[in-house]
Amino acid sequence: MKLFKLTFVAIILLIGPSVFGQITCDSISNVTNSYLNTSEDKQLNRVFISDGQVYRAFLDEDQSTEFEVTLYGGSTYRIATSAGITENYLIFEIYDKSRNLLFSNKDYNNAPYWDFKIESTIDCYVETRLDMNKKLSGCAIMMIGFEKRK
Amino acid sequence: MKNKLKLFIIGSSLFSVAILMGRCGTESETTKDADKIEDDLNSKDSSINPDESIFLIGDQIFSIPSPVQTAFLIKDVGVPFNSDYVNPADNAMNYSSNFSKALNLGVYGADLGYLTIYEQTDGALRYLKSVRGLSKELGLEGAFDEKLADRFSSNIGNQDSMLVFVSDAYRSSDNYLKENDKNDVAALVLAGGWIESMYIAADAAVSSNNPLLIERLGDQKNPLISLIAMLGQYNADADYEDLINELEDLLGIFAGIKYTYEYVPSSTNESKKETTIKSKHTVEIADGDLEAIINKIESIRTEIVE
Repeated sequence: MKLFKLTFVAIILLIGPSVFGQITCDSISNVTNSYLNTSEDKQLNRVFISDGQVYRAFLDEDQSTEFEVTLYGGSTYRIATSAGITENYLIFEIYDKSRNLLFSNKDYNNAPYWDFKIESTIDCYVETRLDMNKKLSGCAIMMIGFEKRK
Repeated sequence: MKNKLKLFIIGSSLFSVAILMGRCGTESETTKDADKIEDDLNSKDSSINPDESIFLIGDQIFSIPSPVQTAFLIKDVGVPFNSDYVNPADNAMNYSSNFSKALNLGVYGADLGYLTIYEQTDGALRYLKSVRGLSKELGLEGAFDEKLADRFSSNIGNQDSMLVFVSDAYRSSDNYLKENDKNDVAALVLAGGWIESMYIAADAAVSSNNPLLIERLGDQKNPLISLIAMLGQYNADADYEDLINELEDLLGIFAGIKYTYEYVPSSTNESKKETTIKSKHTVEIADGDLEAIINKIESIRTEIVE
């Protein structure tokens, strides 16, 4: 019986952190989503429509994630990121295919979201990593929305 | 012996917990003194470190453009609504395998976006029903539940809200699938949405000969490369293989398109939190290539919806 109890405790200990990790990742997703339509957007009658995808990765020290995205000319996009309750854990950077840096939120106190007005269609890389001064590991979420024209 | 077993269980549990806490998404946060953070931030430059490791859990990340965005373009350039462009809602009951259900969930999502943008409210409600039916069969009823249907119906006439609800539902399903290691299904939904959106854009381009629509078709080379790579991760059976082969044939046609790119530095308005990306890009598609792309998209889409 004691062995059974011990096994039960061991299972709880094993599963617990991963379950809590899942909840945390879920809540980070909600935080990120809130940046796609802020109260300021509502006041300004701005609507950003999600591209329907959740870009997620678990990041550890010195690790980054990168993906390619095509941004259409004549559009305004919002890229929103989060890695926790504090706004500025994540650094994200946008490069063109020749690796010219187009934007880094590091220049703006790791702003969790930023808008991009695209003059001409561009294929680019979005790279994300944790700010090692603020967070060492965890779930990172990014979402992309485009602005509906008025 | 029993004591040794107990010690082994406790020891293994603690060891596993330690590993999980360090590796599997458990928050390990280190907050430093604010001044130190400021100094460290200032000391870092923004160049990419080529030695930095790229790390992903499970699958690689791919981005596929929103079908809704292309539907907006079709309307903006003045192409009238055409009900022939969408997959009939009743076809939803014909799909038996999870492969075709997932692809057509994406197809119907693109159709739903197209109908909503053209304010075809009765049609949109019928398509929402098809979306809900397929999503239920795929175990995604949580994302497309009764609440969504009610919110959608009660906002008929409010296009902004309707589009936000639908896009949010698709994003929720994407999140759910990725959290539950069903990335293969998520990929098929995205693939179906992209193919349907290209099909509608191709038909609209044929009927209007609009240069912006033709350029949009030409701009699909990179999304198509991403799509093929994404599906390639789950190339488990003949269905995947056939679809990937068809998409690779389509990509082969894109090889004839001429692209130019010129880097122009971006400008930023910090108070508006907005950066204007000014780099220039052109696309030149020969008539023969355009026709071949349109025909190939139609053939792939027909295979999926029939």
